[in-house]
Amino acid sequence: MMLIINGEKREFKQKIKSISQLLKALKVKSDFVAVELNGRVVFREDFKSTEVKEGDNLEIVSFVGGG
Amino acid sequence: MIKVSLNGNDYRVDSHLTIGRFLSEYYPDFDLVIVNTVLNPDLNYELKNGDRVVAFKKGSIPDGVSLKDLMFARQPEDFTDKLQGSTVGIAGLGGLGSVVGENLVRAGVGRLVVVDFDIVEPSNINRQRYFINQIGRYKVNAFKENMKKISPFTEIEGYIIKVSRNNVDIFEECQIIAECFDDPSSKAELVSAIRDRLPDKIVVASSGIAGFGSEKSVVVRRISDKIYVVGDGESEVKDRIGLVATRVGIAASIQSHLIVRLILGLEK
Repeated sequence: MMLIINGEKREFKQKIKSISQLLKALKVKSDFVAVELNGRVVFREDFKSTEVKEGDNLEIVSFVGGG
Repeated sequence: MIKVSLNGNDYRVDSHLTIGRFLSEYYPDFDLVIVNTVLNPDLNYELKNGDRVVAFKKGSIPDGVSLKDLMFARQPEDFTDKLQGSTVGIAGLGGLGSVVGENLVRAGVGRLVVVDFDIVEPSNINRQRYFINQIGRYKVNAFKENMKKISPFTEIEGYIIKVSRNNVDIFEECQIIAECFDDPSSKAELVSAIRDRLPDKIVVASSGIAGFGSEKSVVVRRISDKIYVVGDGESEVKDRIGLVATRVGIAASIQSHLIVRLILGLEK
C-alpha cells in the first residue's frame, strides 16, 4: 500500500486501514502527534475511526517533550 | 545636494561631504557614530543619498532624539519597520518562549500575543528568563514586566489560560505562532488546533531540545510552508537527560531567527 507522508511516497507491506494503524506502523506515539489527512486536520480522538486509503496524502508531525 | 538623516532628522547637504565634516558641523561632540548599521566607520567616507547616521555621546541619549532611532541603529531601517508592523504569537513562556519573546522584543517586533497558564518556579530559573524575586508570579505578568524594561516598542497582549482548540483564535491577529510548550501532548494539540482553526498561520514549533547533545544537532525541519519544527526531533526529557539553558536557548534563538526571516520575506 502506498501513502504520501510529508511529501514522500512510502510503501507499506501490510494493509493500513486507519490513522491509528498507520501511526503504529510508523512507531509514533499517537498522543504526541499532529496529523493532517489530505489537507484536513484529524484530531487524536478520531485516529481510530479515520480511514486511510491508497495514495492518501498525510502530514505527520511528531513531538517529544522539553521546552 | 543629497539627503541624509542624522538621529532621525533629515538634512540636505553637498554631495562628496565626508562623515567627519558632516558631524563636525551638526554634531561635533559625538564619540560614537553608526552609519547604515556600521559602527564607527571611516570618517573620510563620503555620504550618499539616503544614508542614515546615528551619533551620540557614549552612554547617553541626546536631547530631541528618539530612543527608537538609537536603539535600532544596528538594524537596517526597512527591516525594523517591517518587524514593527508584525504580530507574533508565543504559546508557552518557558525555556523556549521566554527567550523567543525576548529576542523578538529586542529585534523590534511590534506586537506579541503571549499565552501561559503557569507561574515562575525555582526550577525554571536555570534556563528561563525570569528573576528569583519573580518566583510565584504568573509568567505572563513577569514576562511583560521584564520586556517593559527592555523596550517600549513592543506591545504585549498576555493570556493566563491553557490554550486549546476552543480558544486558539486569540492568535487570530498573528502572522506567525511560536509553539514553545514543554509537554509533547500539548505541542501536538496546539499544532493541530492552529492547522484546523487558523490554517493560514505559520507555526514554528519545537521538538528534541532536551539534554546536553551537540549544538549542531539543533536544526530546522520544514514540514510544509506553514509548519517548521526546530530541534533534533528525538532528544526528550527523561531520566538524567534534563534541560539546560545553553541547548534550549539555541533552539529558542533558531526559532526566533526563523520567525524574523519569515517576517522579512527572507525565507523561501
